[in-house]
Amino acid sequence: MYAAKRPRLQPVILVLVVASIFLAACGAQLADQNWPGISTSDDIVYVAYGQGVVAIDISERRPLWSFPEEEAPGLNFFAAPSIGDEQIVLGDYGQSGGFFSPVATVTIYALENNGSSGEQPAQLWSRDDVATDRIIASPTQAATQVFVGTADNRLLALSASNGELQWEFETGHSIWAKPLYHEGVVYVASLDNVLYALRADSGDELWRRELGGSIASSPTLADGVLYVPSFDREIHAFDADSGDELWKAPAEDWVWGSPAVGNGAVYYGDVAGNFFAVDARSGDALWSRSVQGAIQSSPLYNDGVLYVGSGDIEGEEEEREGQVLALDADDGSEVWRRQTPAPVFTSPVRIGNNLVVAFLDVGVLQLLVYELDSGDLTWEYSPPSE
Amino acid sequence: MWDTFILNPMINALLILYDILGANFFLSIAVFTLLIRLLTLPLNLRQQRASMRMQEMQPEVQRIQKKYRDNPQKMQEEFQKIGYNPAESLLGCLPLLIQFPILIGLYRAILVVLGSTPQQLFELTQRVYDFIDLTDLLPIDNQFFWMNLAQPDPYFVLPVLVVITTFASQRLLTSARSSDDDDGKKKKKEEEDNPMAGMTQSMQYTMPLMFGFFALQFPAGLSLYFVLSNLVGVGQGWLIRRNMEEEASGPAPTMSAPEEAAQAGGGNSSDGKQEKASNKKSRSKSKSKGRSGRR
Repeated sequence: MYAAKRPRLQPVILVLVVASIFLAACGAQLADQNWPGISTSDDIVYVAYGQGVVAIDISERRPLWSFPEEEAPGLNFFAAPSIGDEQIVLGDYGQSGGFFSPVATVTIYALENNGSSGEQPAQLWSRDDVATDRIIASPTQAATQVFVGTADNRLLALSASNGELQWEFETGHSIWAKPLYHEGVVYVASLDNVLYALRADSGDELWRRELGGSIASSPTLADGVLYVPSFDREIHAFDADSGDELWKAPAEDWVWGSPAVGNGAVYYGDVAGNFFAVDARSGDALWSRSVQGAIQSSPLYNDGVLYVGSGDIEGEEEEREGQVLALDADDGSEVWRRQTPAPVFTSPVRIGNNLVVAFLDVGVLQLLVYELDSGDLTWEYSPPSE
Repeated sequence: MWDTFILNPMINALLILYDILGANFFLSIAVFTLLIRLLTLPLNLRQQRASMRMQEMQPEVQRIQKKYRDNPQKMQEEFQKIGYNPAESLLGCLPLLIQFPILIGLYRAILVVLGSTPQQLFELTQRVYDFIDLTDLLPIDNQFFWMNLAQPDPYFVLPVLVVITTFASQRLLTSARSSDDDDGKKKKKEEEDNPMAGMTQSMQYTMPLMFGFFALQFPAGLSLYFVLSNLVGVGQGWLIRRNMEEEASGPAPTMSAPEEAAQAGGGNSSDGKQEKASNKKSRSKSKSKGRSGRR
């Protein structure tokens, strides 16, 4: 009898072993990963780094709060929070409904902006019923509205006071680019290769321009001109009112990050590690140079100096390194360079005389603060591990 | 190693198919499925035939088990005589098990190709062969009816289809005698007598449920692959079964001398049932021998 019963356990054991192998092999890939999203207000940086958002006072070198307050397994935040005078708006990548549910819940949150008080911000409202796929793009706040691009191909206009959905606009593919608001018009770029100009109050389309490649980052607006990065290996300049194309300038590979504008020039990098400066009016080339690794983020222009993050994209994740470069905006010559232990694909930001660089080193957030002029490392921060 | 030989070829195959098939990722997965089935066809055929043969031999196997219950060595000898190997009973689920590496590779390939996050898209650029212009292919259309192929089906349709088609393909391998065995007690008794058959029966139910569970969590594109693969498997199994039945219903084999002698010796029996059973047994034996020879 024993011999007859024992094999009946074997299928169960076999199934468990196979399932374990399968889940172990795939499980490591299940977690959504991305680069940290970063935004600033006064002396504070807000970093979405996966498991949450942390607010850090850079001038005082101290973390203020983190959200969610309690650890929320399976919940990921990578979109840079939108910082308004009254509130901070952010969205997550969605939370699985559990073992037996295929539906993930994606939530948009509005938190009270209590500045540098250090108190945990109160949650003003949240919406978990308006998006069905990740919030990858940073939201944008206008006077009474919040604009949120979703990976389920929609731009949502929500009431800033209570999150009520005012209108939505469907694009041909996911929106990864932060919507840009200017004088009653919201500009949104999509992976469907199209830049849309919409009326902010109604969502009505004013114009659209189709490019030769996807647009993963938002346009940069300066003096009535939109500078649009694209995977078509070019940047394009459009008149913000009419949508007329003014010029386009080449790159050697995808232009992923938004261009920086300053000193009458437009600066942008491509994923092959080439960096370009072109004339803002004509698009004529001024200078170009190459850097180590890929440039995915937007450069930062400040007072005649460009700050550029880049990183390796080949090899094992643990072995990939990055760098931060300070370049002279006039000719692209190197002012200083600092190696980082992981690729820098998040745009550097400036707080006072500090350059703040964020990256994930094998999933762990690292924040490096450099002295702007000298490039000296003045502070390092990582959130305490649970 | 894994990336070079499994993942990257899958990613590039999906992209090439996507390009050829008019930027339809569902069609890309469907044709990819057919290609995978084609590649694994020889193995699948062999295993399906072996599995069906094992099922058909069950009456004879049970008779031997019953007769030589107290003499395992003799039982093994008898098993060998009819070409029965208990381990082969497990072959029925092997086609499913060998799909695991494919599923794991395809799971990642779908996520990377569809580039659901910037990092995944960035990773894709590193895996695409030089002769493919990714810029022209992007963005990959991830919609198929109501589904985002990079996410689980929110309406449970695909998980249910995965369970049904997996069960159907499994059932086809193990149902050689099930239509005759409606009596549950008899089936239970059969399982007790033959634990391997019991195991196969258990797998028939646990595997579909397990894959259905996976389908709740994994991208719809992967579930589509599994449904299509199962449907091909069902068609393939049905053809093999029909082929085997045609072979079985061919000209009756002539009896061997010892069988004739044995039957002559028992000729005084007036029990028609016994005689019928004996004939059936000898046919079964001949059939087994014939197939053993082909193997």
